[in-house]
Amino acid sequence: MKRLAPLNTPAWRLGLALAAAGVLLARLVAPRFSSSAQPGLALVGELLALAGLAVIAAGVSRRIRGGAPT
Amino acid sequence: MTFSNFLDLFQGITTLIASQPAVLAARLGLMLLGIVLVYLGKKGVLEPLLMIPMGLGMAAVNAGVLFLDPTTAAAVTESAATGGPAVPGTLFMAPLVQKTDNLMYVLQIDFLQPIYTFAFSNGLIACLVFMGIGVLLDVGFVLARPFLSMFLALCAEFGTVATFPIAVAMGLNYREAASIAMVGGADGPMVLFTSLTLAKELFVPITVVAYLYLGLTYGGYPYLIRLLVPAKLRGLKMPDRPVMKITSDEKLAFAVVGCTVLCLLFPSAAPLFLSLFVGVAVREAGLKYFVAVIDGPILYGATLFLGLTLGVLCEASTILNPKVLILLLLGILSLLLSGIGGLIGGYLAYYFSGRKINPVIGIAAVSCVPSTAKVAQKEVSNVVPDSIILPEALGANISGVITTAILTGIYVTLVPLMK
Repeated sequence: MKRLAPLNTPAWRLGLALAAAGVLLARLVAPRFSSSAQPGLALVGELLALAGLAVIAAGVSRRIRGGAPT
Repeated sequence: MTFSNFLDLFQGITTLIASQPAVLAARLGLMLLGIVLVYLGKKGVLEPLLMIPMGLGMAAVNAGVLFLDPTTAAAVTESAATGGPAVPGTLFMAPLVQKTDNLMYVLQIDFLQPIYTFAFSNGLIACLVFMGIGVLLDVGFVLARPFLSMFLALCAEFGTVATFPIAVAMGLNYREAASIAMVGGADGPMVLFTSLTLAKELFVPITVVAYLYLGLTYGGYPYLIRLLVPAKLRGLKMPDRPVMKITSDEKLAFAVVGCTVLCLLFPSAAPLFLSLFVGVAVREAGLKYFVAVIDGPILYGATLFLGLTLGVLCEASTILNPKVLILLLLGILSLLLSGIGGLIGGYLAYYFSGRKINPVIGIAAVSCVPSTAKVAQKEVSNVVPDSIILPEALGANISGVITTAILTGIYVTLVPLMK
């Protein structure tokens, strides 16, 4: 389990949560709304999911630069 | 025995003489073009792995036209067998056959038909090439500098985005416009996947245009760099960077999360995402036997048959489509705009980083892996030999692949919804 320690960090947890929330918003919540609200919600969800991946990448980047544990 | 019996011995020549003038000129032109492609491939001006099989296929399919027997002609043209005039055709493949009975017949006649039907027209070959690209990618370069890489990659998609409205204004429908716009992403498998999904009737010229131009990036982009970036900036040395300590577990986890999230968001492009990330996952998991299979037989086998099939699809009738000229223009425009977009991104990164980042890195974000990264490094080394930008260039390059795949997902998802 020691090998997986770099994955047990706030950046990974936050990134995964954001990505999951984004996907849920885009694929499950947005389709239930009216056609006018649907595209906007789906877009927000997609951006949120991509932001989740960006948070993970930023966390890894910060760790290898010797910053605070992320 | 009559004179026509002797001509039947050399039906390639007989069918040439019997052709309409436009078809005759197109067949001769394509044979010549095929030979030129083989020559340029051998010389290294164009990508030899693709151009040599493609050029030879192009020359052979336009030379090897014969009069089909009535049963084969009926299957190929999907009409009832008649005693009408002889139908010219080849024994390579018949891409337009749709009916199952005819397809089963043609599969036993045309030697490349099984490859076309079971690997090409469903996008499998594009996915296999993409899997090979995945094995070659080190996502650690992206994870080391995620924002710089992603920012440059987004800028380098300028051509992919801007060409779409231009193509629509030039008379292409949304599906065709999206397919040709993808040339700006500079990723052959993705152009193939998009055009097969959105504009199947034009996928041959679009894909051929894409691969021809992608071959030219290696020769053309250095001039664009020299034109837009002065030598003083080209030689800019990057600041010292930390040693990469990204574990393979992190890279594997990122590949798994990235693949799952992107597949959830864009299921239409899920085959591409899976293919790319399975390559990355196999590499990072250290599965050496799988790596050897994917970056050897699968990648090179798929590239060989991709080139051969594309060449064989370049029959005279293909280039006689009036849209081909527009596609040629839009393809080069798209790649040019992407290159300019990447360099603008490089300039923005240069200014926002306090003049520390070499702007040439921007062009590496055009996702022609690894050609554009190599071009960027080569241009920098020509000015200052010990200036190293390759790690950052590869990060931008790999991000370019991922953003192009995302854009493919957006196009194949949204364009069918556009009226």
